[in-house]
Amino acid sequence: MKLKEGFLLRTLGDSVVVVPVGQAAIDMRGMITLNGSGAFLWQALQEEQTEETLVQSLTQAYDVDEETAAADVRRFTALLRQHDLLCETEETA
Amino acid sequence: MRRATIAGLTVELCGCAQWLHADKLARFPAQEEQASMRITVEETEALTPPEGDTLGQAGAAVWKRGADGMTVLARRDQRVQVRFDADFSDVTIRLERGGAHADVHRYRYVMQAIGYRLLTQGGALLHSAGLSIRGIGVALSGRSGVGKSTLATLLCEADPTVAVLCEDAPAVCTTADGIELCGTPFCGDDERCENAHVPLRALVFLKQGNGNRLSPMAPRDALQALLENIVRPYYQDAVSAQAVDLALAWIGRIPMFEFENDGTPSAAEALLAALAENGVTEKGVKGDL
Repeated sequence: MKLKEGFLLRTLGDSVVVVPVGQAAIDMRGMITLNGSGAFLWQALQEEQTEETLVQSLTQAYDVDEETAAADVRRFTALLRQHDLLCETEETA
Repeated sequence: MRRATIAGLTVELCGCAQWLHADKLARFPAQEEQASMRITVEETEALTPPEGDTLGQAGAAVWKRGADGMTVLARRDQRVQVRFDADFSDVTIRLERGGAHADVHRYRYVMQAIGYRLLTQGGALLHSAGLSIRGIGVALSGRSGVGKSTLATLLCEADPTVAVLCEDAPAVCTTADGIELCGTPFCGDDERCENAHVPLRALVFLKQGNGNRLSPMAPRDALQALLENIVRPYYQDAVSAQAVDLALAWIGRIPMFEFENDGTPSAAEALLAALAENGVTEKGVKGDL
């Protein structure tokens, strides 16, 4: 899986926000606010990933056990799917 | 052909002598020999749908990339086509001869073209009523119909030091002196527009309500409001991204407020008082210049 194009990750004060540009700005009103691990996963998803590689990256970057990281990744990717922000390969769909 | 300098941008306007009332454009004489962009307006008998890959669509418009590399914005009713080059320095607006709302389309797409070009130069057009209050720039922004023009008029009536720089889309430009609010000829049907620039000290987003209250905006809300009101090309991600970064820069440097108001003369009094209370304008006797 990989993020669709047309989104910018930007720091706004203490927050990290995702702002749609191009056609994404027409299709999606508003913006997304991310916490630290969300921003980390968002950046990782600029390239093709699986849930396993995301969990691995998260456990390496944060002081978090695999079970918690897996739950975080599932929750985050479910949210992205809900808003149709992911390009899925057959393997990840 | 006419040349004009609008918010520091020297524009060559070809074939659109009837556009922008001549007296408004005359207030923006060319400051440079070399034009930064050229806008050509043509009238044709019939427009056919453009060919090319679809880049995006919204409302009545579809954007296509032609084989010649130009981007074409076409209205679905085939009354207008606008051809842009990559950096918006060369724009051609084709209108159906005798088509309905030709004046409106001409005004709108010339404004868009200049807004897009300004973005590539570090400035932007902002849908708002741009005001000078004792030499301090304040922009009243918000969706169409929210009462920008009404409040601008009420402010002028309440305080003779208030001048309207532009009713519809003033420019916001970063200069060596800071961020400035610049008058443009884009003032809709209103006659009030001035070729002047003042330091921009507040952006006020209007909201209709029963009372009159000025509140600081959270940065996230301010960003959203700015992105809804900066004139930007949705189909071109790079320039659209510049609009986002420009908005973020403004948020860090210009106070942003929401002004819930009832659209009455007391709203103008309340806003003037609240701007002074918040240090945007100096407290003083009305009429001080």
